[in-house]
Amino acid sequence: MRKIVVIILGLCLLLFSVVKAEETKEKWTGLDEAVIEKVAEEKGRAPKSIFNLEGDTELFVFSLFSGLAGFIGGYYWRKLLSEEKKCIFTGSHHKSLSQRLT
Amino acid sequence: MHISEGILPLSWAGIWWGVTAGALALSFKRLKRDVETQIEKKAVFAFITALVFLFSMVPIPVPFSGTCSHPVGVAVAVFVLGLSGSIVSGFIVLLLQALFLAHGGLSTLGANAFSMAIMGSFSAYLVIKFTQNLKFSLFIKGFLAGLFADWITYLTTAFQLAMALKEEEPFFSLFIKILIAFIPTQAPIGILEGVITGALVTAIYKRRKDLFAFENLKTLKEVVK
Repeated sequence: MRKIVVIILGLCLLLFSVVKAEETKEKWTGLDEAVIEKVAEEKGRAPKSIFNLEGDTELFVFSLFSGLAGFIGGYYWRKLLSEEKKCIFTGSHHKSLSQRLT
Repeated sequence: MHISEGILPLSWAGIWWGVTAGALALSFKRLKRDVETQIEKKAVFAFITALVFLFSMVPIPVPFSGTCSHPVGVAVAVFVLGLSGSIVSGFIVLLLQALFLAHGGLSTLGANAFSMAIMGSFSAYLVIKFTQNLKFSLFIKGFLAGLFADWITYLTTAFQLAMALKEEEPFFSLFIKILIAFIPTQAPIGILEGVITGALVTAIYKRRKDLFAFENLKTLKEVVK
């Protein structure tokens, strides 16, 4: 039941987002661009980029780093939280991660 | 809150780098000591840094404003790594984002690290300290820490921009102008960050409360209701 409520709320949010997107001229610009860079440009300090991510390279780099961070986060979540919990519930004498690392 | 390369004048970029470098040196020293005494902290540090990296990179659309923004994620880091660990973790995240993802810049890294890694972490730390002995549930403590870490980060960014770019305009006028522009997007994102932080710290606590950096949170069972 809870899952269904979450899904419905999520869909409503998405629907509302699309409606609002139609109303705005610049759709879903980042806050950095919409506020920080806009104020800076008004004051004559346009942002410079250290390097340009052209075309799909931006998508590639974001996907790569998100994937890596997700993998590291997931791996350590399992190592630190799930495996330890499993040990407690099964009552086995598995070594804790700290013991294994030493 | 990522201030891009070239936005801050060099003098201001230098000042923020100086402040950040000082706090970073102290934090690194303390974190090194912690890692040497508790070997498991290395794995915990990697885990939390990856989480903060993901948190602070995901652009979330906010229907009210029609813009996207991201949480900062440092409140979770403060709960688990403590203040010093969170500062170092936040700095590494911002350095990687500046170098590889065109988020922020190298000259502005000091300012960005000051707002997110230092002020964000410090505000979460203060919330945890103030609520440590109160009978709030851990979720509420996490919620408040996440909320304030997010809002204080953006408040600091507004302050940094207003100080650096004010020229002839009065500081307070520009500060309020930037702050008002942040509010429609960052107010809901802050609330969302509070909910995520509360849920995450509760989940970690239920599995491994020994990972927490704060003694009272390790021992007071009643904080989890």
